[in-house]
Amino acid sequence: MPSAAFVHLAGVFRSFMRMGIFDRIVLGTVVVVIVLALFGPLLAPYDSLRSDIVNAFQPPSAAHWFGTDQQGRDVLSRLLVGGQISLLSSVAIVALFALIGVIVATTATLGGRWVDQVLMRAVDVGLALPGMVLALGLAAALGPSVQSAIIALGLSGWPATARLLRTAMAETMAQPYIEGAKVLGVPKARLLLRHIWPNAKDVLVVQWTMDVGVTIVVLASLSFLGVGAQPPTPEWGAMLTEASGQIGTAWWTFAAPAATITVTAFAFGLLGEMLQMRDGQVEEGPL
Amino acid sequence: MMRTGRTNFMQSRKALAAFVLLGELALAACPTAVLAQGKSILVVGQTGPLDTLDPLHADVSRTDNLNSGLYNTLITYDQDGRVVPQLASEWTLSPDVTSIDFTLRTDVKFHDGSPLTADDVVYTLERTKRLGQGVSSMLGNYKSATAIDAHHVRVDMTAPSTLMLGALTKIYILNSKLVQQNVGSDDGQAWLHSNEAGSGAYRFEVAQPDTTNVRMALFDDYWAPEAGRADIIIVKRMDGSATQSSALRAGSIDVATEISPRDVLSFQDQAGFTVARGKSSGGTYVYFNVDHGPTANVDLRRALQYAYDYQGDIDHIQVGSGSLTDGPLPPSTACRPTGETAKQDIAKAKELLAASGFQNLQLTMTYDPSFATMNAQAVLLQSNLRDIGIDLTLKPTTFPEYLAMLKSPETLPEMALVIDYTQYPDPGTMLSVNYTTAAIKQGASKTAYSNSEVDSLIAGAITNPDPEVRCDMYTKAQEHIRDDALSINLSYSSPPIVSGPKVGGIAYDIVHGPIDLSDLRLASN
Repeated sequence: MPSAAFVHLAGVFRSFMRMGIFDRIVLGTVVVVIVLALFGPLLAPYDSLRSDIVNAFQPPSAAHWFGTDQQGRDVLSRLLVGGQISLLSSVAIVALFALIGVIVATTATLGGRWVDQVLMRAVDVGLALPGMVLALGLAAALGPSVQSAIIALGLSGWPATARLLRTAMAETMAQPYIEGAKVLGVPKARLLLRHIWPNAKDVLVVQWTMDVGVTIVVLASLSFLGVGAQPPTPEWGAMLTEASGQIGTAWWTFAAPAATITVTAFAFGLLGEMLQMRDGQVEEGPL
Repeated sequence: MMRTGRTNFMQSRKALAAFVLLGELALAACPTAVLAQGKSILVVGQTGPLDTLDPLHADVSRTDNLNSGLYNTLITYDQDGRVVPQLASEWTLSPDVTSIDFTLRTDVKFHDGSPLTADDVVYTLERTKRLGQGVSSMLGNYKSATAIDAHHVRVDMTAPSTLMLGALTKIYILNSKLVQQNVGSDDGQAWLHSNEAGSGAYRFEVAQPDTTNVRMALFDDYWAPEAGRADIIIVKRMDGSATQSSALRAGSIDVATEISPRDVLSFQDQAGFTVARGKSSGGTYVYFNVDHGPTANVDLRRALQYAYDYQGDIDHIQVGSGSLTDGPLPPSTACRPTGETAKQDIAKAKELLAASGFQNLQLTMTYDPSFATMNAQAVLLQSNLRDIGIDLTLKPTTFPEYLAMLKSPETLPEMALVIDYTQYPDPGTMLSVNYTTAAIKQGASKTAYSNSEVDSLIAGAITNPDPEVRCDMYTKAQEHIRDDALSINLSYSSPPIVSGPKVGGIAYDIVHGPIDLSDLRLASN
């Protein structure tokens, strides 16, 4: 008799096979990226940090599938190890600004008119500021590192989540059953946990999924500008910085991280859209 | 008829507009074409804005390069690092090294036709001191200048110093009467910003309003005429190695002064192109704080020196545009001790590290990541140190931040990767700034090194009028510095200059590097 886990897995597989080919590619790519990010350091064929300068700028070959960089380090190994840093950092950033956004939106929703007004104006100010410039300034002030980039992006990204969640929560709060629950004296905490947050959850999951993709690009941009990951950390954006002077002479050192960032960001963006369509938030287009 | 006439008029207006437009396009795209008119032209590509022509700012290489064609100095250095005459035909250092008497050439004319006199030298030096900017920092011991007669000048110093000779190779002599006619309220700075008052091989003709091009024409009455100079030199702003490489191949520039080591490789065996490399006047060094922290331990410093892959750096980072180091001073300077070139020896590094008593050591090194080569060297050193069990953290630091750290041994980084070079090839300049107790007190020492014997040797050399004794003292000081392992001398840099088929002779200039425009020559064919 099959175990419950097997039955569950079989159900997941059937759901996967029922998807269209396009959806399967997108989901498959995201799964592969996550698996590689989690186990990348174990899969890397070479030491990603050790310079082997004699083998600098080796083009792609059987020994080095993606070639070697200026220090003679295997580009594939660095991508695999760097995947963990790039992806987990992006998830951490999204989690940080999601947490701040949820706290702000919830306080605004339940805190009364004046609190709502003050917090939403703060959100407006946050949205009006150019996020990338703000993050760049914050990261530079904190000192260049991955941790600084995570804090900077987390602190500059929350207004969008707060605005979205506040709108979703306001719609839920206007429902007659919420009014009824209030009249019956249901505590605010119970209202939040049982009715308000669950109703906003789908919108947020879609948004956060897409945010992971965008954040990978933004994090790479901060590293590219020198305020994110520092040498020898193989974060994908830092790899682009190191390779930027060799596009003409050793294209693979630039092309490999650039393609990886593009594919990963694109896959997460499309996954977000897929979820959006499945939840019926937007009409499915001709695609 | 009216209609025909208007049509003709319209057509002629269109034709005129097209003609003007084509002309403007041609001017913009190819300034050399419209200037040609049978004259020989060389175009030099230079990185960065062509800020000013004022020789006061010749401490910046962009300005220095422009000035090298327009002006002359009293004396200069030859490629072997010897002081040789230019506007001064002779000079005598006083026995107590507190003054220098110069005899000026009598055949020198400024570009307006007026002759060079001692008053011009006095005015130039006094103006430089008065304004206190740019090259004035090199006139540390300058006291005054006195015109003895029309062609003799005495320069007095506040303290004995042979460094004044080297400093004067960076001071371009101005036509004092011309500057005084345009002196304004800022000692002629605004006027000299976009005009010149020199006696050089070329006279300034015009700069484009956006100063992307500076054009100069051969001066017919130049005091040192030589065959082969181009009639016109255009210095054209062109940033980046890739842009200069493409322009050189396309023939829109004749000399590229900023070409990356990898781009140079593509020109090396290509017919019609010449790659020139001169003696290096600088290099990349990791300076240790020898006063504070773990790097105060000499065994550790030696271990770090042996850990670095010098040959790998030269072969794969410098890609032939650098050379192995053999001492603290770059090859352009005179009076260097003979010694072994730096070499990696991991076994010896581990042995010295064990002798130092440090285990699981963590060190921090400041570096400026905006320099690609420096970035690669920092990462290579980090990896090499990892091989002997040292964890090196790289700390990005801008140059102003680094200068602020020099204030005291307490704030000095334990390791700092810097590009260091000499403005002129006198060994005393780098030695006195980097390795003396006086430099610590001035907040300028990169090592916090204090050794009374070295202090005495350097001070003695600077104040000694005998070149041979001086050289001997400088050599001994460098031997002490080398033995005390004050830095990892990663590599000497030899920036290449690449020239096209129109150029006949070119050399890296050790004083006005990358090139002295008056030394540019046309190809003989």
